[in-house]
Amino acid sequence: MDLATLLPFLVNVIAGGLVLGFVYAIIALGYTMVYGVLQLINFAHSEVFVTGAVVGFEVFRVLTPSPMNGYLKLLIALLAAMVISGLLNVTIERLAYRPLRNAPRLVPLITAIGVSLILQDVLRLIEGFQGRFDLTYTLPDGFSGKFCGAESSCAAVGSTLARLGLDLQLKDVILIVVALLSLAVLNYLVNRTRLGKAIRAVAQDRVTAGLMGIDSNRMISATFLIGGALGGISGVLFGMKFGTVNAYSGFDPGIIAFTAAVLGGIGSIPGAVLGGLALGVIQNLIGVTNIFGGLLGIANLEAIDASYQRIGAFIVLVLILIFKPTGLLGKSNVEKV
Amino acid sequence: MTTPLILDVQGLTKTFGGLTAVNDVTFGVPQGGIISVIGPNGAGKTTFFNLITGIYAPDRGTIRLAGRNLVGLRPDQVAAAGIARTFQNIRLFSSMTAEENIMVGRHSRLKSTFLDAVLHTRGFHDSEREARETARIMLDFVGLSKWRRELATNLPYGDQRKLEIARALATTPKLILLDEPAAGMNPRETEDLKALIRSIRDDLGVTVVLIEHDMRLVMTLSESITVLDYGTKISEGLPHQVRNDPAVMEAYLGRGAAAGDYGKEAR
Amino acid sequence: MTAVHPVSPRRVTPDRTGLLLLIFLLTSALLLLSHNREWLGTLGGVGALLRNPIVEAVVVSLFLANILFAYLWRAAPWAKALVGLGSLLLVLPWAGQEDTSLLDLSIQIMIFAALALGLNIVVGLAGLLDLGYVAFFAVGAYLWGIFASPRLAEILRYYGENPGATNAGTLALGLFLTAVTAASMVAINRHHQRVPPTRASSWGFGLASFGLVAGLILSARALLVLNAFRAEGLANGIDPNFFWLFLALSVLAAAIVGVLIGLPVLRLKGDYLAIITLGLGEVIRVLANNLDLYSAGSQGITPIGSASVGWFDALAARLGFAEDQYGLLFLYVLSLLMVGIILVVNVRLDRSRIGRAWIAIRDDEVAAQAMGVPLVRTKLIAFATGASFAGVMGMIFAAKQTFVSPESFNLFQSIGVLSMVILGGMGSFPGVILGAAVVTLLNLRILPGLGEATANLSWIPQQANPGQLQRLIFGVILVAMMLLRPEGLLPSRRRTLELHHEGDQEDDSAKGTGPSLTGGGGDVYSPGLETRQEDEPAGGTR
Repeated sequence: MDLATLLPFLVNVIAGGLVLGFVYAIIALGYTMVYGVLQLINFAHSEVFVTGAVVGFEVFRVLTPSPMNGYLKLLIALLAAMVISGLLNVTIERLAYRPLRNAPRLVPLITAIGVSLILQDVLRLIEGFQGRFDLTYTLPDGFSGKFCGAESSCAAVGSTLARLGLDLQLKDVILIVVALLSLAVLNYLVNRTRLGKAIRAVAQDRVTAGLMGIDSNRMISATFLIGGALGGISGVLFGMKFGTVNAYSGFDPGIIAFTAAVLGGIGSIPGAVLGGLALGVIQNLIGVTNIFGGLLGIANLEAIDASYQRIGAFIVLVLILIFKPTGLLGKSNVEKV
Repeated sequence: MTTPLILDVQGLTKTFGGLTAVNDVTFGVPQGGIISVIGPNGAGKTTFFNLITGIYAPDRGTIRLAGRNLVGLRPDQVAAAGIARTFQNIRLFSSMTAEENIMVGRHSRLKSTFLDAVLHTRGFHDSEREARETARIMLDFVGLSKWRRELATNLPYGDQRKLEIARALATTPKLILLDEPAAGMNPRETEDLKALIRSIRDDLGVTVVLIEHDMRLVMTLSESITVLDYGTKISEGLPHQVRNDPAVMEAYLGRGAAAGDYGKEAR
Repeated sequence: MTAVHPVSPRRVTPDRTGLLLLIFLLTSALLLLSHNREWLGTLGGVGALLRNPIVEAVVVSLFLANILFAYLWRAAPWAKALVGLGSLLLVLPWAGQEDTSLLDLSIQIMIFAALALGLNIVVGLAGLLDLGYVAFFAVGAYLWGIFASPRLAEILRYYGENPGATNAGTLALGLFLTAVTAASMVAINRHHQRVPPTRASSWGFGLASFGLVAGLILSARALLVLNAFRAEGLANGIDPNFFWLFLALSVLAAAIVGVLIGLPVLRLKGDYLAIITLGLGEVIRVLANNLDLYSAGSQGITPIGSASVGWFDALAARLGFAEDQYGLLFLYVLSLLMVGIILVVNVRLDRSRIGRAWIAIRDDEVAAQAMGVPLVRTKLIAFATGASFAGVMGMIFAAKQTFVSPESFNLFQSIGVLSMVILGGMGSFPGVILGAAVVTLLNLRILPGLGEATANLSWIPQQANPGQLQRLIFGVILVAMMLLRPEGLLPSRRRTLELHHEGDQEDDSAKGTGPSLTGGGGDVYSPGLETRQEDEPAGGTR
């Protein structure tokens, strides 16, 4: 393979990584926001996200026969997933985390792991009683087709992309648009509204925020609602992207997204996005190292296959935590003694 | 006659982001002294203690304990070198009894190893006996013998402060740093504490440095007082000198209010 | 100022020696009956009921409860000893003679009890949440698995065919490099005890550790190549008499892996540690899945040998065991012994300088360090100790299963062991053993029993089969215990006091590190009031 063939190949790998990265980024936001207010790794977030994916699956499944516009179906799926995942996340906080607000730190962490496990099996049973385990998305017509294919009205754009070597599906573009819209809304919510200001105050110092008249419990609930809604969105996007989910699919993207949050600096919203994009690209690059290995003549690289992608995220996580625990955009956090 | 300095701090500086918490502080503690560090809230007093005990690494400056450089040592190494401390917000080991708390303080002085403990060697029994004996002596010394088997967090507030002192003393320090030992104590308890601090110096021969807001305690107890404000040393000297230093009154009460009394500093 | 402390009045429990013995006899009879095929055959309908896996699990649980009662109840010491030893050494093996699956189950319970005791040191005593604990179990299992199976010959054959440039000189170089780098690491470490590390010395240490790894790899490779000719003689792995040596090696290997994993990650805060250990546990599993030459990948290694001890086999034969049961009985006795040793080690460490240091770190890292407890070293010891228990049990596991594959070492094993610790009570030795027994019974008997019982029900599709509800069960255990009884079923004294004390506190510190302003109960310190009174006269001294 020479440069002329390698370059478009690389462009595709990176573009694919960015698409994946947007999904990770939205999941990572759920981790980072909760960590910001409670200093808790919400292990259950991966299941909140899978819940969104399951809701998305159900909406698309039920609406398949309907002649409704595909984008409308998507909108319904996204809204349903946001509502259900958001409420689920709030409920989890209410029932499982709030009673433990003053317990030693290990206690809520272990609870979070437990909630995650419970939700996995509850999701499995919900679908299982209908005889399903692997849920295969039935996307509206055209979503899986080429973005701006030859017959579409924007064929010119498509051919330009093709000349750059980019091979995008329509759903990839939809995914990026939805992700960017969610980020814009979130940014407005957190930085421009009273609610956002109150949440940031609680994240900074819960006691002082309380003295200023902010009901910290309500703000924590609001954070879980927003984080859960983002989880719902990312679930639907994940389902669209990969086509198949099951009750146990949350683990890998959960870990990768958490790594993304740490990479960007936990508690930092732009950091989570940056980290998500970076990890999406890294993961895709690891996935094709065998090809690069072959190109570069490094035999050992060929042994690295997709099963190492997960390890890749962990190694990135270990390295960041050892060398730059505050992440790329995080603020240094000196423990008060 | 000059007494040798047991603790010699030169040009100590620490910044957090843009905030200079401790700014070029030079500080000497004579062997066998009782020295106080005072200053308004946020003056950098606790940060100063954290720098000495190795919890934070200084940006600049040197810290010498009996001639030995401490900069770069971890807190446990500083403790082993001979500086013990208490904390402003009491940090006892909550799941341990009073006795066990003190036995942890003995950690760096005990010789028994992992294998000793597994095999119950003579070395293990010796060191356990020694730790228990130290705990008994220290509980006696601070007057908490009756609480020996009580969970540390079940002790009354004032006694928790004393237990922290006993735990620190169990490390056989050369120097003990007390961070607001009288905070939350009633006048009666404060009197007891004053006697205890004197006894730490007189009977155990341990030099004492304390951060304190209780001015009566500070004025009657200290042989020398150092005043910090915004991380900078603004005054130093005998209690009556510091009391009459206009710079100190200004620091506590603000410019133009120097005629007031700084004893009313709100806590 | 007197604190009201919650000393519950000491309840005088009646002596229950008689009851204990009665229950022991009844449950033993039931156990023996339900595991004897002939007797069951004569019982007709009742026999069929007793053969039901769920009923069997209940019978086994009732029987094991004897030991719990012997521990909990007030009874004559001789009766306690009789029940405890009689159950473990007489009745269980006896029943196991009729039904080896019972012996297998008992060994499994003991393996998990030992794992739970090991994890208890890390989580319960030192307060470090390790979610990849089962990796150390894998180290022990694979160590023995590779050496005591045809795998070893395969590896030697591979190196015999691909010697590269390796020769005796390589071995010498490797050993030399290992020795030099190890010595310099020790020297630098000693130097650091006295003076603070400089940039140069830190880099030197890093370089030396790199050299050490290189030296070890060179030496190992050279040894493999030089011994390749032995492959034919080792077709079934090494001589079973090496079992005892490997028992020690598995402890050592797991401890070393514990230190290697611990070194980079133990500097991290608690919740990061959880996710990193989770990751490293997965790394070890993925490696086992992919290093086909050494681990045979996902197919797993089999058959794995075990020890054969002449006099033990003779004894077993005298006791009427069949020849194919010797191995299992031997492993039963061995694991009993191991759990005993591990329990003693645990108790002794708990009541020592190192145990106090662990608990101090769990309670308050900053204060512990300020009192002279070196954090990283103390945590490393906890990690390595916990790991070594897992290592040795991993080896016993490999010998019992005669088969190891990566699937035995997935995240759920780690979570399972964690839920044993949580169920029994963090920091409580009898508690975690109880937790191990309960969770293992649930996992290996009751859930599969449920799965079997419901397999033919049309309204439960196979995708919703309750036989695979491990996650739900582990999850419910973790959440329910944390919310309702964080000190566990059989709490340690320390934990009860601490957790219930914290529950009493008001929300005065959101970060959980603030001062406790209530002393015990009712004695509330009012900030400001007393001090102000004290300060007023002080101000007047001007």
